[in-house]
Amino acid sequence: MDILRKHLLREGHLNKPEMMEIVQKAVEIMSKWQNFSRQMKIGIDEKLINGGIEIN
Amino acid sequence: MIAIKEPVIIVGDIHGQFYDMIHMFEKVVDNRNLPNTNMLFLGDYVDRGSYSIEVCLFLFSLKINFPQEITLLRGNHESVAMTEHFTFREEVLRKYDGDESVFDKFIEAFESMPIAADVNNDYLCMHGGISPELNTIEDVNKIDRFIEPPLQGFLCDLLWSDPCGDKEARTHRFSKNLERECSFKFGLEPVKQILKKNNFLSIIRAH
Repeated sequence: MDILRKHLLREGHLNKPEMMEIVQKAVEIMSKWQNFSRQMKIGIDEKLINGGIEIN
Repeated sequence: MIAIKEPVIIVGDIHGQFYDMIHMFEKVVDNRNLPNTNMLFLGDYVDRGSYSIEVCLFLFSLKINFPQEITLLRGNHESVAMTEHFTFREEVLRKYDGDESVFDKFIEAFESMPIAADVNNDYLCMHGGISPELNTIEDVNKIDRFIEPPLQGFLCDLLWSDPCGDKEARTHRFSKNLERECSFKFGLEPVKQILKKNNFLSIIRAH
């Protein structure tokens, strides 16, 4: 948040490599979401469906 | 299709309004224990407002830190066509010295976002609305989401469709969406059919 606030207040710019790293990490996490079939919920761990965690 | 359990806070279009988003978080989220409350964002993070990059980075940071609790669905603005037509591409190039690779990385992130969510087996959530091609929620799983959304078809409809106005809703099933110049407007009957077939209570959408 501090980095973003400085960026907004023009106190400094968000370091491009750091920013790209944030976006890349988000891409990696979101790309893992597999297509989810409702039938797959049957018998799976509660933790697996909480928040839509990756289902293989 | 992403499955999300209650309790969940569902948030609609942000459109680059970083300060409004922070205000929302201060009002709605900070009084709760975030790790125990899921958050579902229905897309349209970018364009229109001046701080789309900051909105995305904030939400991505949340996603990285709370991967199971935060879900970011894709909206119709999370596309090359819309961000070029509106303001996001220009914002990225202006703030990052014309570096196209930064814009491309954001597009990669948008293409990785899921399209629809199932909240507690009760609520079907997406950015736009339903499609004539949507019968069961398993149909959503057949969509290849890692693409630029086409101007017609199932993926387009989930991101773009709208409900009919109150007068037409009871008589129309699907009609051309003239205001958006793509996809459909949907009436009450196809909504009822989808809800009944998939045992949902309601549809939650933004747009």
